[in-house]
Amino acid sequence: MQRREAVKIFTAVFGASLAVPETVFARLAEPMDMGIKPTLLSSKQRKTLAAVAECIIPKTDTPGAIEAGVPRWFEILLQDCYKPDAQKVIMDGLTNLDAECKTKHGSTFAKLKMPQQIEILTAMEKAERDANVRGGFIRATKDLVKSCYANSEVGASTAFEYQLAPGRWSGEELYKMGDKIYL
Amino acid sequence: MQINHNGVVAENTYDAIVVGSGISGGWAAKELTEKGLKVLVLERGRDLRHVVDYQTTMSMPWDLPHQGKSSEESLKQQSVQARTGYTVQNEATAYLFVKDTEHPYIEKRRFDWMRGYHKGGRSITWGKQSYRWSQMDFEANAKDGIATPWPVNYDEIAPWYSYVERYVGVSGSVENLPQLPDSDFQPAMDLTAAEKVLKRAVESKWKGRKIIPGRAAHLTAPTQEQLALGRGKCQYRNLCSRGCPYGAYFSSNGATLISAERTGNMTFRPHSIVGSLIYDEATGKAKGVNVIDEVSKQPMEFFAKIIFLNASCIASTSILMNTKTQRYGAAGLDESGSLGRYLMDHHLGVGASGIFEGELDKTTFGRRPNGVYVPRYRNLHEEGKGYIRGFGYQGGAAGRQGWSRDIMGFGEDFKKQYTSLGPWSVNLGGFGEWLPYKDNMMFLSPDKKDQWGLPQVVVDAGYTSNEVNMRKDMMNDAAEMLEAMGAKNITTNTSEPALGLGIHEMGTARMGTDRKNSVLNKWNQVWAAPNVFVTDGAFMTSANCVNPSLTYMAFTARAADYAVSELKKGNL
Repeated sequence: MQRREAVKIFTAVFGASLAVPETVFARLAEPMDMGIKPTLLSSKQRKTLAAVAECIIPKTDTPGAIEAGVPRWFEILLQDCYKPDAQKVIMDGLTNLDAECKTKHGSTFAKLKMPQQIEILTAMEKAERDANVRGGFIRATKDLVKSCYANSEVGASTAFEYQLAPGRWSGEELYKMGDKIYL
Repeated sequence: MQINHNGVVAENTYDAIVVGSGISGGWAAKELTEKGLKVLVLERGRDLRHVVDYQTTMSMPWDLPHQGKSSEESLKQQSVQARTGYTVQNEATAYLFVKDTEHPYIEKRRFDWMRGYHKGGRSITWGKQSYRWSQMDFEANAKDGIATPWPVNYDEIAPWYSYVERYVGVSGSVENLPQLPDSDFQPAMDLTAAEKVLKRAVESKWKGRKIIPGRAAHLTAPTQEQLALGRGKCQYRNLCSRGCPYGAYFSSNGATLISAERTGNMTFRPHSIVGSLIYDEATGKAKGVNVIDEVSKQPMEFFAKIIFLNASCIASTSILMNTKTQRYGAAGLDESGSLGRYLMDHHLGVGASGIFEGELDKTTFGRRPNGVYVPRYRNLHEEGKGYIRGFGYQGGAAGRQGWSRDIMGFGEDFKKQYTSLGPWSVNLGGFGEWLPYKDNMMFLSPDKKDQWGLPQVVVDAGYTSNEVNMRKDMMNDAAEMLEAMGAKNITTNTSEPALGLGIHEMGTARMGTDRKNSVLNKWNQVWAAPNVFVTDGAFMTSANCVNPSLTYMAFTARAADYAVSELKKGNL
């Protein structure tokens, strides 16, 4: 459900009993100031990040991470909401991933084919888990990519569905694997 | 222009002054204005107009600058409250909590003080859980011989509970439990499929334990009176603490202050910090309040026949402490020695969580702003070892795990898992009674002042073996109940109890039977200044284990009724 529809529902549900006019809801529904510029990552790190994000959430019958604007959200959140040591884990991780790919495969990560990229990331994830690393590069990157996608306009209205005002509550709705899930 | 005998402009004179516009101040304003009094409501913070100023209430996650996560920059300004891991961590609600950098206080021991300085106070961000006290709770201090006895009993308060519930709108189920009297309910919010499994498992295994729908101040079947205020039914957004555009949950802004406004008898003044009462040595009453304008920092005086202090527990007590008189001296308006003492909260941050892999053909629709409740059973049906009183639980299985759960892998396989549901998440978190201890106290700093020249508050309070022993049961019982339903990966959690975390600070100006043992009488009236009433959390003589706001509201309505009848009789 999009914003405009949500505003309409308000007036449909409440009609004359609304405490304030519809125009107020329309104004409240405007996006907040989005003048934030991501400036944390180098252009090389950005390329690597975009490729990693797309490996985590690829384009299928629904948009992938890149189309959903995940790389930009990722950088804004990393820059503004993370402490320097946590930023460093991800930034060093991106740089090292590229360096390692150049040594082992003669190419940057972004230029490899996706199956190979996934193979590399899968091995890294396994190594991280086996070593019981907390807050490692793969885990931290995946967590932030997952959250950026689910909270992006594209992700939340294609692969998921976000309703601002569900309007009813059921504790026993039928569900089967493959049904679209509500955020 | 009329000038009164003090040479003060008559326009600064009202019938009543209400200090604070939070959950109890809103009720004082409503009741006093509806009874025909001209009332000045003083709010220390900014105005926050209902709906119009709820700046994030219609925001989609992607409308927020950081998709809802507070930035490090913003957390720096709220670093004290940020320790709790909630309230200010949410980008959409952080604007409803104060900046710690602007409102310092001193912690001798850790004390988490979450404050919302704006019209409506914390009635905007409260948890809405609403439970009555029972007769055994009002009798508890007398029976255990601790602190001081409550001067009221359940039968005196019950009609006032009903009175406020019918106006507020509390959803819940009738259970006929002696330890948790039923309210005048609107329909309860249903349990989830997994919560029904939990309920069956727990209630068949333990005779005295019950799993019931949380009792919450949300409209599920609004009355004509509520609709006429512009309030509507809950839309199951669970974005409540941004401010509700439907007025579906109860807040001062969405209800009591609207009622007060409509009488034409209310004057609302934001940015008005009350430092102390103006005490009349001759009459032994307060004739007004000293105010400092938050913005201009200019001092002002306002006068009235009766004064309600609803500034929140610690702030109302600060005002009483900061009122220096010849009669009572430098300690403030008290001769019992209890002012500032017996600070309480509920202790929480203890319980268990896990996953439940049954009922996987079912999920939830909508976001329920509520959970299940487990009424107290320890030291009632089952003995609690090494402690008196008891605890309740909140939590449940509100939904199934979604995208944020830990999933290994990459690519299409990962995405398939990521966009589908996992098992049910289930948890129970305890809310324990914190006993009233004389040494748990707050006082005013003799030298440190805030930017308005008012003394900073110092808090020095802790716990004893009663809380520690209770927490063992709170943790283990929770795990046992999850085990009984067949939950897996059960983990228990506990922490060192810190006052304030429950955001239920209370005590410090308790009621009692005698001016020698308490600050207030049974009508919330200050013994040392009978035209002053304190009806926020400060009046509480013990804490019980249930969320306190409903009780503050009932006592406020009762005190306002009493105050006006005494005023009419010429007794105030």
